[in-house]
Amino acid sequence: MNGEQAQHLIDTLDACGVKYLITVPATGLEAVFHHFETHERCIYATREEEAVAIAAGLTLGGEKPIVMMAQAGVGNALNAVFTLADAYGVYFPILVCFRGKEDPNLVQRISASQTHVVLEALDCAEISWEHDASTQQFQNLIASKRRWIKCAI
Amino acid sequence: MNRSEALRRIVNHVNDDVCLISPLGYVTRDLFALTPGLRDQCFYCMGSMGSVVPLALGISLASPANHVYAIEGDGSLLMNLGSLVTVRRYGKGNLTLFIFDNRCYESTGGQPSQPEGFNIEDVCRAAGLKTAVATDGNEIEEFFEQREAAVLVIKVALTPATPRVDEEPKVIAERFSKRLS
Repeated sequence: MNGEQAQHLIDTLDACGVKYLITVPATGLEAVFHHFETHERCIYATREEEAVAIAAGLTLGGEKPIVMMAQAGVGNALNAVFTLADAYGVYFPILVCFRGKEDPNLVQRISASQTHVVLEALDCAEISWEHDASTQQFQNLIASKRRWIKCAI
Repeated sequence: MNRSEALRRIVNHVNDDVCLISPLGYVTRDLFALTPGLRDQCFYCMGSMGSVVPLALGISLASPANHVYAIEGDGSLLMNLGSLVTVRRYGKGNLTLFIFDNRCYESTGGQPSQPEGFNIEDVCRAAGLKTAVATDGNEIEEFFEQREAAVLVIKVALTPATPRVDEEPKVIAERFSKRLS
């Protein structure tokens, strides 16, 4: 994700009133983390399932968090998503940062290929931070309580 | 100490600004049976093993006016030990952890959760959380009188199960969230 795309993502999250970013850091998103860190609204979790539970707690308390994770974290997150967030009807978006099937790390290529299938099954939406329309698209996805959203990094 | 008795002692210290989070398995069942008058202050987890501590952390950050009591089992805590570090890092002082330590996975038949000589309180302390241990009711009362530690590990005995929670999870969450707002 280049600087312009990262800024677009930051502006979109701010426009949507997202207050907390909960994440296990993913490559290429340093600017986004830095923005939320600066405002003391970035929480680094030790594992994606933990990030989901923290976000569920924040949401129950009336806050608007987002969980961001690398594609490799999707599998780690699923039990908490299914048996806590989904089961109890606690909505917050999860943005999956996708490394792509041509990633230079050969293991991540396999991860991307397999996780792609999982995300399809989870009815994951896709968003690009290339253009202004993506802000409206993201707002629409949140309004419709779409849980899983992926973007390229 | 009997698990239900330990829970009863904690519930006796719940006032209006306290909320309780309980883990899947027998503890949530017991808490549900013990708290018919505190439904909107309780979040009864029926899944997501290992998520009580981070869930409670999120609630405590969003609701600084409340004090959150997170009740977790030793087996569940072992599934997510990293959460102790996250609490150390981000906790604001309005979160107390009660670890019910029976050294086994009781609801699945009592399989051992820890090796001999291992103490879960040592892990909590290693994470930098001030931790007390209770082996009887008097020590639980002392914990509440002193209110110095962030974690109380309670050594509990195997105890017969109470009936399952019979409420819809979404009803539990909606009522709990409404109370916080």
